[in-house]
Amino acid sequence: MSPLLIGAAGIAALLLLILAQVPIGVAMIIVGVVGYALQAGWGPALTILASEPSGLLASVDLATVPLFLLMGTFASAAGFSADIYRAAAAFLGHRRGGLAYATIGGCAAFGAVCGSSTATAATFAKAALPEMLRRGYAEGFTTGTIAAGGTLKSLIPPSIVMILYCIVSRTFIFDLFLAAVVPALLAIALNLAAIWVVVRLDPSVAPRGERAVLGERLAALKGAAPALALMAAVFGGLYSGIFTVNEAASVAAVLSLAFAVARGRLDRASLWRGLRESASATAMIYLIIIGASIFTYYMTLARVPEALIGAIGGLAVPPVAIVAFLLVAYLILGAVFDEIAAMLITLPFVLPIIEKLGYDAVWWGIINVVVVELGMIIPPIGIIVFVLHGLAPHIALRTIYRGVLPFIVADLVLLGLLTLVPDIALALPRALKA
Amino acid sequence: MAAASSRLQRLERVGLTLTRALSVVGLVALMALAAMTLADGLARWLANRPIEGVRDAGALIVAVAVACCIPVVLMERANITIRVAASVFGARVGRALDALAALAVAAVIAAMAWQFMVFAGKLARAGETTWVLKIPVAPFWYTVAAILWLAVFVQGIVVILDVARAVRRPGP
Repeated sequence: MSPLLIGAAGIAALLLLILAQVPIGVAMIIVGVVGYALQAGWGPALTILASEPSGLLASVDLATVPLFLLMGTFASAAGFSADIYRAAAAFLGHRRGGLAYATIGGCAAFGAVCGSSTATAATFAKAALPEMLRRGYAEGFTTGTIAAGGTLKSLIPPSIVMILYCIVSRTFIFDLFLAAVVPALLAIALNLAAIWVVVRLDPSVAPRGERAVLGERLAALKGAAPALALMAAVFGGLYSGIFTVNEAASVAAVLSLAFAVARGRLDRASLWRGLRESASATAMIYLIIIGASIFTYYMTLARVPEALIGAIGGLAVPPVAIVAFLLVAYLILGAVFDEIAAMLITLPFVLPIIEKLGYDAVWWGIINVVVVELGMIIPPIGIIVFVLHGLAPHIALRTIYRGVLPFIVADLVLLGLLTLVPDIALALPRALKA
Repeated sequence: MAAASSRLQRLERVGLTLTRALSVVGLVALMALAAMTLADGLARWLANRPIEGVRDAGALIVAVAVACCIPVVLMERANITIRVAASVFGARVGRALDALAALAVAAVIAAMAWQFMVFAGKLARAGETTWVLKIPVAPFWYTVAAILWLAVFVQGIVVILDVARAVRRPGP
């Protein structure tokens, strides 16, 4: 059997199991082990059920995932999202669309102390949604802005999507965190530009508010000081080289817990709930990563990546066209699949192609994160849209999707810029290494 | 019928309580390790004297702590699953597939638990220890294997519950 046929059979079997409602991580383990056994026998195939997971379970890099999840849990309990939003709103709320600008800025800031996009959107919705609606902002525009703000998190370190990409692609996490800095700033700017365009075209969606006096602004800033201190500790320590990524994750988890306790915001019930949710998310992520790792083992043993590179190398099309094709495929796949799972399943054979085309694995990581970000708000799945709908059931899904549209355009512009100019992501890490 | 249903509910409650408690133990261990890692980083930065053994034992503690979270995701059925079949072929087919999928998950976790026992046995026979503190590594992996066997038991509960749901006649 040729490697391409083995690869196709593996993907077909995987899709079949996934459609049969087997959890994605477990489906990847089954296909990986059975595929490996058919090539090398059951003895060696079964041993990877311990050898691969043991490496991942003992990985201090991957352990940053639960630590950043815990940081998000404690930061939410400490009320950081409301503090950050209040501070941003005090400075921007009087402008037309000011609360929307504050939401994007606040989500970006809160994203820096929270590990997950859905948690960022859900937490921020509690602070921003009632306030924006109370001040007469349109429902679609409000929810669209919060959803877009939540997705920004994926591009802002410490991002769990980035960590997962790095573990599977064997790329340095810090390299990806560095490469994300400029694209993240660009994403924030494009989202703010989307708001500017929307309020210019239809001023009724975002009325002006009252200007906060200096005393109110200073009080709001003081309230946000602990959140800013946590951000400074995590980012300062990480980017100045004082801490490794693992240490920064430890600092983040411990400090956010300390802040939550010191502010008296952490009662037993919220601590118990937060820990339970973090534990469940941790195990879910580990099982997918273990599955992806075993599936990759099978694909590599069958020499599927090399065969694909050979097949694609024979095509007379420019590399950027192949990248564009892959991006469209991901967006279509994301319509029926979970984007992160799609990224992890396809990475074993897509990344070698990308590298063969002359692109950088770090750049592809950033591109993947933007695709995941987009997938969280595009129909029909759009997980963040569903989260917001769950929090505000009186706002129709269609209204939220309509509100998200300008931000989808902003993300597509970002994706196009990053695809055409990889240096947007790569210039900073390259300059710092030099 | 009502008695059977109540027994199943009690079984589910026991499973949830047990796995949630275990997962919290794992995360508390992880937080303790994070505090030690923070202290180690500060000691290295401020006094150029790292705390010996934090990194050494850290990987093994992480392995046990994360393993503690696996049973809860199984009991809560929180793994990412695509449920297209249920919406296409109806709820009954969906429930039947859920039961079969639960059985497949149980088989995979059992195979993993078995292989972790074999893996830990090899490490014990080889007398493997950590680099700095010379702590034997096998007991940590035996612990991971034991937690995975517990996960098999928990998944057994999920299989029973899912099979019961699949064969139960829909109410009037």
